[in-house]
Amino acid sequence: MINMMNTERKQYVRRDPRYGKDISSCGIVGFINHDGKLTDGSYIRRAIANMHDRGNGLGGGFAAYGIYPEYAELYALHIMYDSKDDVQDVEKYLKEHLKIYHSEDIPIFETPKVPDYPYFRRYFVEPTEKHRKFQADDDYMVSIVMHINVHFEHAYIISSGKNMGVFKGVGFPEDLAEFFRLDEYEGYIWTAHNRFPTNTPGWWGGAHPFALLDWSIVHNGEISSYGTNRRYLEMFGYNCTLQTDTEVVAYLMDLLVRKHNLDFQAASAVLAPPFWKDIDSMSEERKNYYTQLRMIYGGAALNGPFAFLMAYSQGLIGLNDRIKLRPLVVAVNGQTTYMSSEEAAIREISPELEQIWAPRAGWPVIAKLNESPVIMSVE
Amino acid sequence: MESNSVAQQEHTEIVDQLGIRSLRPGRYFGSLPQYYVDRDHDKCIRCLVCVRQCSWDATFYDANRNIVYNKYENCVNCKRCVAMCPTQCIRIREWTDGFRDNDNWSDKNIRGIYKQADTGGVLLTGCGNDKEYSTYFDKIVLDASQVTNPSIDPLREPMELRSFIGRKPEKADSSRELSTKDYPNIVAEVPIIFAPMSFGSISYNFQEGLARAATNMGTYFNTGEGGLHPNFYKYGKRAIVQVASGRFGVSATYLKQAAAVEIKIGQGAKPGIGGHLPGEKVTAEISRTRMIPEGSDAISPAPQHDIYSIEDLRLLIYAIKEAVEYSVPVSVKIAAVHNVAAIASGIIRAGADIVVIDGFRGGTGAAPTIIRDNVGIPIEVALAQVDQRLRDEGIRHCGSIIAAGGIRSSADVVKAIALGADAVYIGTAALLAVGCTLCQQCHRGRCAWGITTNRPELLPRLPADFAEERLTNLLRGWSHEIQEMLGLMGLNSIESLRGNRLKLRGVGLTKYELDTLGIEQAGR
Amino acid sequence: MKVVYPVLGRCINCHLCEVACVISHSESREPISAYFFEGLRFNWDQSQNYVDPAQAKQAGAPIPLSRCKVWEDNVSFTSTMCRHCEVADCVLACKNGALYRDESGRVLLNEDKCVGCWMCIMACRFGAITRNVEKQNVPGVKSNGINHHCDLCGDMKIPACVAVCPTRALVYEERDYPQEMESEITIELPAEIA
Repeated sequence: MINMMNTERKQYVRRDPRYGKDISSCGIVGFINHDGKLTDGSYIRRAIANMHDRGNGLGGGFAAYGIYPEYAELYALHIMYDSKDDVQDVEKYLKEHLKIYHSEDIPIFETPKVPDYPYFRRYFVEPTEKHRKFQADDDYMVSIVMHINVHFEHAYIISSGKNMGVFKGVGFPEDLAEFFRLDEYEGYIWTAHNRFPTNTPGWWGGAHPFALLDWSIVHNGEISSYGTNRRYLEMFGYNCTLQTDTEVVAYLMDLLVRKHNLDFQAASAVLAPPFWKDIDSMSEERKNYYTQLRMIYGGAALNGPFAFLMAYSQGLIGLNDRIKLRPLVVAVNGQTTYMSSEEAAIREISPELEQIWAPRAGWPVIAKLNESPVIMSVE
Repeated sequence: MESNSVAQQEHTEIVDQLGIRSLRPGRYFGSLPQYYVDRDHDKCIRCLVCVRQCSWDATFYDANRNIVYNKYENCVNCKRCVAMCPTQCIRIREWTDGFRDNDNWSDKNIRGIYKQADTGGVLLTGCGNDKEYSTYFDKIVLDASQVTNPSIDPLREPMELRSFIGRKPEKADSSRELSTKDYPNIVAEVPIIFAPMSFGSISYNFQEGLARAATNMGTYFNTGEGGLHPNFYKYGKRAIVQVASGRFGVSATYLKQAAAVEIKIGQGAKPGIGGHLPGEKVTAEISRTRMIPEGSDAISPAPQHDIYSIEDLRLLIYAIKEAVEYSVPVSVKIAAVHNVAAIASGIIRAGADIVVIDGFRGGTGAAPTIIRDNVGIPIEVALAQVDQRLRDEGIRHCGSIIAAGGIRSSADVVKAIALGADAVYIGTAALLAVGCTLCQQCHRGRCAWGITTNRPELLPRLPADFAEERLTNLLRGWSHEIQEMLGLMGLNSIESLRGNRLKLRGVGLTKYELDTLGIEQAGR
Repeated sequence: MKVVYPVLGRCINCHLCEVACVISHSESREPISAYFFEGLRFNWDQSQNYVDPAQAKQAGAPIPLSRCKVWEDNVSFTSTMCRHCEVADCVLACKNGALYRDESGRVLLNEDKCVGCWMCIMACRFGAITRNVEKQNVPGVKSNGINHHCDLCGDMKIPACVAVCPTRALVYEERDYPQEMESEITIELPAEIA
C-alpha cells in the first residue's frame, strides 16, 4: 500500500542535495553477544521502548546482524520504494548488474500505529562474474548502491550488507518493531534508534540506522561539520543523498576502514581527533602519528555533539564526540556488551550488570565478535 | 615639444614659488584640489608639529603672519597631521565645491582626465580596488547553533585553529608508518598569513614587525618579491619567500632558509602586469636585499620569462624543490581571473603544494589605476570555484588554497575558510593595523606614516616593535573572534569549518550567484 | 635614579615633547592657554636661529620655552634634556648655589639665587640648559634671564615628554652611570658634596 503523501513529502524534503541537511537528537541502544549467540528482536524492542521519550514518533529503526543465515554469503539489499513506479526499473537495473538469487517483499504486520508506509523489498544478490573481473565486490556494490540512491527518484537502498538488515521508518521504534515483525528475526548484534527530528518532517529514508555494506550507524546528535565531511566524501565518490548527517559516518567508516585499511583506533582518532594540546604532549612517535592523521584527515573529523554506535559483522563500536556533548554508557554482562544513551534501557533487558561506565569523550569502545568483552581505548 | 614642456615646467615652478594657485601652464588643473584642510586658527598653538609631519609638501608655516597654512592641492588626506595635532584643530574635508552632480562622470573620472591631460602619463595608485563592485563577503551570513547542538564556549573549551598548509597524502599508511614525511607542510597556529609585501614597497621596520608578529603568533609572513634582508634571515622559519619575475634577491640560501617558497605569477591588484621600483628608491639596504646595483631601476617583467606555459611552471617548481631538497612546500600565487579554477587545477597538477588566489580587491604598492580598478574577479567566487574544481577532480588534498585580496575582518576569514580556503593572506588589514589610512599614495614612497617608505627621516615613524605589537594584537583579536564564531557554530576545530559551505547563507544574491558560490539562500 | 633618555633612531622630529613640556609647566595645563597666555618665551625661532627675546615678544609670536629640545640634522633627530648627572658639572660650576640636588637626586634650581652668569651652560656636557629670559634676579643686567632646565615634571609620575612621545623615543628609566662620562673630566670633589 503506497501512500501518495509520502511522495509529496519526499519531494519537499528532497531539496537541492548539495545543501540539504537534517538534524536530529535521539536515543540509541545496541548490544553484541561476543560468542555470536543469537537473540530475537524482542530484547532490543524492549530496550528502545524504555527510551520512548527520547523520540517524538517521527522515526525509529533497527539493525540486526546474523538474521539471514541461509543467504549468509550474499549481499542482502533492503530497498524502500516510496512509489511503485520505480520497482520495475530498479529490478531491471539490478538484473543487469547483479546476480539475484532470491527476492521477496519484506514481511510486515499492518498496525494502526504505523498508518502510512512505503513498499519494502529485499534482494539477495552478488556481483556477476563479468563485473567481478574489474572490481572488488565491495567497491562494486558501493557503486550500485550510490547509483540507485542518486538516479532512481523513488527507491532507496537502506541496507546492503551480508547477513544483516536494517528496518526503519516513521513511528515510534517499538511500533516499527511490531510492524517489521522483528520478534521473528534472530541476530547476534542489534542496534536501535529512537528519533527526534527537529527541522524536517519525518521521512522513512531519513530514519536511522544508516547502512552501507556491513556498516550500520545509529547516531544521537548533530554533526556540525557535515558540510565539510560531505564534500570530503564526495572526493572519494560517496554521494550523500539521504540528507541526514548520520549518513556521513557510515561512509567515513567505509572509507577509513575498508578502503584505507586503518584500524579502529586510528579511525576513531580520525573521527574524534585528540586535541592538539594532548597531541603536543605525547611522545615523539605518537605525536607524529596523530599529527599526520589530523593533517591528512582534517576533512573527515566529526565535529559537534554526537554519540553513535557503529555495527559491522564483526563487532560494535561506540564513540562520543571530543567534548562529550551526548550521553553514552557502556555495560558488560557475561558475554554481552551493551551500549546505550541511558542506563535504564540496558537495565530493562539485563537488570544485573557486571560493569557499567560512561566512556571518555573521544575514546572509542570497541566490542568484537569472538573476543572477550574487553574495553579498548585510544592507547 | 620637449623644450616646450620643459619651459612649462619652469613656468609652473616659478608660479609655485610665487604662491599663485590659479590656473597655470603645465599644471593647468593643479588649482582644483581634492581635499580641504580646515584649521581652527584659534586652537592652533603654532607648535608646527603638523608642518614637520607632513611629507607631502602640503603644510607650511608663515612666520610673518604667524600662521600655519596649506597647499591644498598637495594634500592626500593621509591624516598624519590630524592624528599628531596636540589640540585637534585640524580637519580634512572633501573639497567642498565639488563638481556639478553627475552620476555618470564621477569626480574620480574627471580628475583622472585632468591629470592625464596635464602629464600625458599613466595614472598610478596604491592599495586595492576601491570601486563599488559588490563584495560578496558582505552578502554572506553565518550559521549558529541553537538547541539541537550546543554552541561551544571558547573560553572554557579547547578551540583549535592550527592549520597545515601544503600537499597531503590521500590516505594514511595503515601500518602506522609516518606517511607525511615526504609532504612538507607549514603549520600555522592561526590561519592568517601576512600577504606578500616586499622590502622596498614597505619599510624595513614594517617588514621586521611582520616577521616578529608572525613569530609571536605562530604564523608566517611573506617577503614579497624583493628578497629578504640579511638581518631578517633569523626569521627565515617564519618566512614565505617569493620568487617573482624579477628574481630579486633569489639565491640558494634565500630559498633554503625559508618556511616555504612562493612563485609569483600574478597579483590581484594588477593581474598580468609587472612592477617597477624606481632607481631613486633603491637605497643601499634595498640594493643589498634585492641583489641589484644601488640606484638602478628594479623592473619585474609582466610574465616570468621562463614560464610561458604550465609545463614551464612545472620545471620551475621542481627546480626550486631540487634547490631546497624537497624540504619546504612550494606555492604558486596567481591573480583571480576568469578561468582561475582550471588554472589552479593545472598548478596543483604541475606539482605546487599551495595555490594562492589573489582577488581583485588585493592591494599593491603601485599599479596603474585603470588596471587595479577593472581587471580580475572577486576572491569569493574565485575561491568557491577553485575549491569545487579541485574537489571535483579529487585533488583537493594535493594542495592547499590560500585566499588573498579583500580580507577585511575575522568574519571574512571565517567565510573564506568556509568557502574552501585553508588560510588567508592579509595585506591591507596589516597596513591598517600599523596606522595606514588608505590614502593610496604608496607608490610615491613618502608615506607620512612611515609604512611604505624607506626615507631615513620617515622610517622612525613606524618602529618595528610598534608594528610587532599592533600586528600581534590584530592577529590575537581576530583569532579570538574566529574562535567565538567557530564556537557558536558548534565547532571546536578549524578543519571542520574548511569547505563547510552549509554554514554560509546568501542574502540578496541571485540564484546564479548563489550557485557560483555554492551556498544556499538565507532561510533555506 | 630615573631620568629621561632618548632612544637613538626613534625620534620622528614632531617636537611633541616640547609641546608637552610647555603644557606640563603651565598653570592651566591646557595647550591653548599654556601657549598663548602663560608660555615662557623661547630664544630660538622655528628655524633654529637665535632670536632676541625682546624682539620675539614684540612680534607677538608665541614661541614657548620648553625644557627639552629636539636637535635635528637632515635625517636623524634626538630630543635632549637634563640628565640629572650623578656628578653634575652644573652644580659644581654654579657659583652661588642656585643649582642644588634634592633628596630624590634631581638637579633643581633655586630661582631666586640664579644671577644669570651661565657657568652652568658652559659646564653642561649635554647642552641641556637654556635661558629663561622672563625672569631677572639682577636689576642692572637686562635679558640675561635665569637657568632653565628639566625638572622631571615635579609631581608627575612620568615626565610629560616621555608620556606624549608617539614612538617611545624617550624612556624614563634608571641606568648605570656610564663610566666613560666620569672619566672624561676628573674633578676632586669637596668632601661635603661627595
